[in-house]
Amino acid sequence: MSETVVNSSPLEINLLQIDEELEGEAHSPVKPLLVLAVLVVGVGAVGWLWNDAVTQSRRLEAELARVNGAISEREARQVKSGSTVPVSAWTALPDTLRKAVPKATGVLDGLRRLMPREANLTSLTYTEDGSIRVAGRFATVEQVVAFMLEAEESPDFSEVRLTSLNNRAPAEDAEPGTLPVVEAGFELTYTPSAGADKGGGG
Amino acid sequence: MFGKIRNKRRCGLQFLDRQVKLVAAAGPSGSRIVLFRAIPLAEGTIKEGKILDEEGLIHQLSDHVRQLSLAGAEVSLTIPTSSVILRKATFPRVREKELRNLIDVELHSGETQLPFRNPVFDFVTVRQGKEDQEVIIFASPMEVVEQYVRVVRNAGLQPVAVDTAPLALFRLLIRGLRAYGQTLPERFLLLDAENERADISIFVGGYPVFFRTVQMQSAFLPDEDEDRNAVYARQLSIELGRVMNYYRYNVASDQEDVRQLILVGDPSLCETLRQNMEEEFERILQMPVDGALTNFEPSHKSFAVPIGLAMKGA
Repeated sequence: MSETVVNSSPLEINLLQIDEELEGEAHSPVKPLLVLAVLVVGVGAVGWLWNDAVTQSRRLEAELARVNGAISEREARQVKSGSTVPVSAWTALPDTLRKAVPKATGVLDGLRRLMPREANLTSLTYTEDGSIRVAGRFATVEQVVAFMLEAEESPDFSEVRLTSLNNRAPAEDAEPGTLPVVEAGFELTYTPSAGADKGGGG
Repeated sequence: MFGKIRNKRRCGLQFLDRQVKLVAAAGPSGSRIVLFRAIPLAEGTIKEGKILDEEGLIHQLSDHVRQLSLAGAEVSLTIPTSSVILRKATFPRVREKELRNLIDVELHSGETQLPFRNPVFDFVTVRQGKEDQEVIIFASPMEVVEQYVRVVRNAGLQPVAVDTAPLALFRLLIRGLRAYGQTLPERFLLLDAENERADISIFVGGYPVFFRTVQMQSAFLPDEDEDRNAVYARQLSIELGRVMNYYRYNVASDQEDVRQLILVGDPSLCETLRQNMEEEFERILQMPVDGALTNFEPSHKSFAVPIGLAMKGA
């Protein structure tokens, strides 16, 4: 018969198991330390974020002030220069100008049709007040009158006015047989007929 | 630093119907008694292990805790043995945590019959086979444990363990026998005799197999000490006879009697019991409290349970 083994160690039980865990948690220094650490880290993080935000805010305020200063300076300069035309108006200006000035080819075509056969157009000037100054050489005074009449009747021109009329003898070095001419100057207003291209400068 | 010194004190607290026994021990194995006190309780505070006047008990206990400067001291306490149920069970060999879960499921599912709901439990492993293991489960109603723990905590102490009186005595017995070079009997009955009740426990192979608390009808006992003890011994002897029969025919696998008795508790009762029961047991031992302590005094004999509690874990 085998000998019975007798346990000779104390039997350790603890019926406080659930509470013991809670107690352990409640009395553990880890938890308050952890809370404290989280609190410190939290306060530090909030402080850092606040400081960073304040710094950034100050930087942005300074930048904004600088930009505002620059804007004010430019506005002052603009006011000083008297130009308050917006940029869009400047960009539209070439088209406006182009439309404001009659098309040179249209003017020349119109004049060419009115000029007598023996006449030459020597100059054409478009003035700021909208009138056209025309100078030409004609064979006779009758031809000058004829041109003026033609211009008056033309739908493309109006307000025809003779500004100068001179007889011009041939130059001394001119070829033999060269005839004297009548130099006449006119002022007239170009009024292109319907359908004709009004703008384009020239 | 001072906290650490204070923590080296180990306290044991035993609740009885008419008194609370408190012991503070020190030393590497809790073998030096620093203080011991029996705190008398007003009648009706605890009755048959049930706390009837919780506030009163806290008040009475906290007064002594303050007087003894024990506030915050760690303490192991007992709950009434009558509220502790023993169950032996076999489980597959698994890790302790898993085993605890298995037991928890079994207790709560009702597979292991318990006379109460909401049990708290702990267990000790008796045998480990290749595929299975045998354990003894100690279970008690959660309400009972919580109430005693609440009282101790509200009295200013720090409860760290809830134990049973038979296991506290078993701890003390091992220490005492070891001091005398004696071995633990293979089978013995441990009788803790107090005036109002007696705890009877049977150990086989170093493990408890049976717990029973007998309430003694002290109101019907004579006033004279000698007569009183004699009547007490006769009453208890009858009850022991029933317990022995129950053990022999319902618990013991070999139907062997328990032939060794270890007496502990009230010294005068123990002496009377020893004289009355000499014929029923082959060997009767007094609890060797003296061997377990380095500063033993005769009055320590009455504090065997709280001393055993104070030695817990040491």
